[in-house]
Amino acid sequence: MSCSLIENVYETSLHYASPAHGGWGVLKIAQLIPDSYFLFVSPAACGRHGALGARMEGRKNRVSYLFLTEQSIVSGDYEKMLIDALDQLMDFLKKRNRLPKVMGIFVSCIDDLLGTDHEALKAQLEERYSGIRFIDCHMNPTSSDTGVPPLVNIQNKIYSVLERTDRTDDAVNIVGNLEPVHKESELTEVLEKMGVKEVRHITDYKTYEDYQDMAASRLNIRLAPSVKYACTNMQRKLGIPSVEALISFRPENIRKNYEAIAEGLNVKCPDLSEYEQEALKALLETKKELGDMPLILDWECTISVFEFARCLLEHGFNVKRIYSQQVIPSDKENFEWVMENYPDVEIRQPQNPKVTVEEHVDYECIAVGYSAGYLSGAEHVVDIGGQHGLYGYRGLVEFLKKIKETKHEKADLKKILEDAVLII
Amino acid sequence: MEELWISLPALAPDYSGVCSAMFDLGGMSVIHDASGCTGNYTGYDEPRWYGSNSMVYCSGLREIDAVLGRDDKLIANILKTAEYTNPRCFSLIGSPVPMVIGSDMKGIAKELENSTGIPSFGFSTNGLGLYNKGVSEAVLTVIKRFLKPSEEKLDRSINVIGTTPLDFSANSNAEDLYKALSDHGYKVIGKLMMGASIEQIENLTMAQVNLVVTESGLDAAIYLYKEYGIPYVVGMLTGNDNELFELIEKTRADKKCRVLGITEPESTGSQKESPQDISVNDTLEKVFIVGEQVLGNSIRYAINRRCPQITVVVGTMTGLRKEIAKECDLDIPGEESLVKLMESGNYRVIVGDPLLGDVLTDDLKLVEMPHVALSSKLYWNKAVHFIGREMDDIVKKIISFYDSDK
Repeated sequence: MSCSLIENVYETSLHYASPAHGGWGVLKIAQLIPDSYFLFVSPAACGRHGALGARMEGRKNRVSYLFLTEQSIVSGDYEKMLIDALDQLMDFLKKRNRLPKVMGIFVSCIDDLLGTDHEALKAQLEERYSGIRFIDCHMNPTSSDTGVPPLVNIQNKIYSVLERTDRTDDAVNIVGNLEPVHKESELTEVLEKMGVKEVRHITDYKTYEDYQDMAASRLNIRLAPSVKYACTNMQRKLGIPSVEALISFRPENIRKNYEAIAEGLNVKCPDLSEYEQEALKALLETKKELGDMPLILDWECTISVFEFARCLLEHGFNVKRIYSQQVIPSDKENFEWVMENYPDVEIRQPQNPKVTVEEHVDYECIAVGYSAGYLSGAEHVVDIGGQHGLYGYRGLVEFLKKIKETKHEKADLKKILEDAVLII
Repeated sequence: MEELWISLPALAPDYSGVCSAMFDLGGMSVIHDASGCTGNYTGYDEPRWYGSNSMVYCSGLREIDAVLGRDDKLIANILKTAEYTNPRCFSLIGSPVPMVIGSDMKGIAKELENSTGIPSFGFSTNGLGLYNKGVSEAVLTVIKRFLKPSEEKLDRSINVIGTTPLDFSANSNAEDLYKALSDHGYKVIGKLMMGASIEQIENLTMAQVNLVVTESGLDAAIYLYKEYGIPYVVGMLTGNDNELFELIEKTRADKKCRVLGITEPESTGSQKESPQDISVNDTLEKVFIVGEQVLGNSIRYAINRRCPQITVVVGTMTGLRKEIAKECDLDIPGEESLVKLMESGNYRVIVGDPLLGDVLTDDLKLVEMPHVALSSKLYWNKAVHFIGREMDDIVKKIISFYDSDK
């Protein structure tokens, strides 16, 4: 049933890239590895947006570029060129006392067609530059419809440099979220009640050595579906099991998340009713404040936009439109629920060129997310991208607060987008 | 090695050049890529993108399409979109993957045109070339296709060729230029390509002169000269200098092509000021302008008109055109060469994009002139207005570094 419903609503088309489309990009994710440096080996064009994004955010001093020539692409043999470039780059970094612990070799779409043997190349490079760990990274959106799309692959890479340890401690890793969970969230508090001594996230670490602590954790908590592949490999290599607790905003799903974590830790789930009441109160108050103000959501503002929409609809909010390019498997049930119970909710694909000929909305509304704001022309726009650090009951409370506050502000969306540094 | 860029980002690529050139024509441009190439262009190489209605799309190329060569899927998606967007032409623009799999962009365009009757163009861009080549190819392509040659000439008429936001930014530089020409009694027929339309291109031969304002307009001007006898002047107005108009007038009269500051190195007289009294050590104290070649030539002209003692070298990373260069000018093939030049001790002042500051030696002074093709949105809101006081102040600032030599 769901397939046909999705097919009825969604279609394949050319892609429109609105100024509001984009996110972190694979380079920024890879640069989460402490003490890392990256060399892009690709046509010059492929690295331009990543380099500019890095420059805007002060990360450009950790990435360089080797531009492939037509000849090297045609022959498919850029090994010699790569080694010459690495010799020069290492010399440059050494002189500045900036030699990395991890060197990532980034390749782009065409590499998938050239068939480079990355394992052999890595072995050769690690022998040549002893003491430096090499990883291959892929910026290849042509693989977006495969089992290992870029976002999945790059998350696997950032955890692949963790080495097995005999030590296991009472810590858990939070994975899948690229921004750390906000301190205001009850997550750490609840985990402590479950006996967890330390909650680890990749952004906590400044050095490669310290980062290895994550290999000693007893459990990985997956906040995004895209990190499942990485966790499967971490279980195999490091022996760390994982549990899924996706970023959710429906109170019943938040409860299920904590129950799943408790089960993963083999402890009893602590009492959550106080947090739950706090969230329900915020839902009631926000609904009262917004009244019937239409809300327009987009799929880049959170992982499971239909789950969020469902939460809002169940509590009386007027969700008018959802921009979503596709429905991720974990959100399918919520999509169906919205379609069945609120068939008037409009679904738009933000990358479908049809959105370019649609008039802006002619009513006052709040857009939640950049694409929702740009495409609808809404006057009020919640400044929130996919990596927002909101989690749990208090994540919902914070999210609602942002929406509520936006009601009284006219958005300068152009400025918001400039500050967001979006990479496709 | 020139292919290794340690500190600087890559310059805007060829496909961005094509897209930006086609931007105002009312056509549909489709970049045949997965998403990143389109994101490069729309997010970082097109300052006009926000709020625009220009039809630029991505084909959404996937591995399986590449392996199976699914051109039919691409064509079907384009036709579906054209039903409600009504483009006046189609441009199919290549990227690295189509290059590797050997996609025939021109062939696909031909198929599209056969199906729709709408003019269609294929560009075999691949992300290895630079934006100026893309702009140049696009301008030539549309001229060859849409031009309707006419014997009729309009008095004091002119085409401007080579306005691109990648060099001009999207501040009012292009409009300022058209207005300045208009204020001097010229009728601007073709605004290629900022402000271009198919109708303008049809009427290009009605102009008496072509004004080439960036290197990417040069090939089109040469073509129009060879095929239709329209002479050209290469140069850009800077500050409040008006001497370019005198060159245009000369060319209108004798139909000889001219390059500001190259074929016409001497000031033409009307605005001549007393040269500033500066004694410069010519071998060590040069000004080095790094950026677009025609704009570089024009700034050099403005400096030397005021201060002929200062040696100004123009260097470009987009391929130096010797026919519009001085002997001292430099082709800079990559970051390594640029760094060596900076470290050579031959220069006192560098004029160019603020990002050059990332590879600058401590002893050099940098006069910032943001170049969209390099630094993109990092500085495009601070792009210099070429015409008017802002540019005059920049020239004065450059010369001021030699004040102590008086």
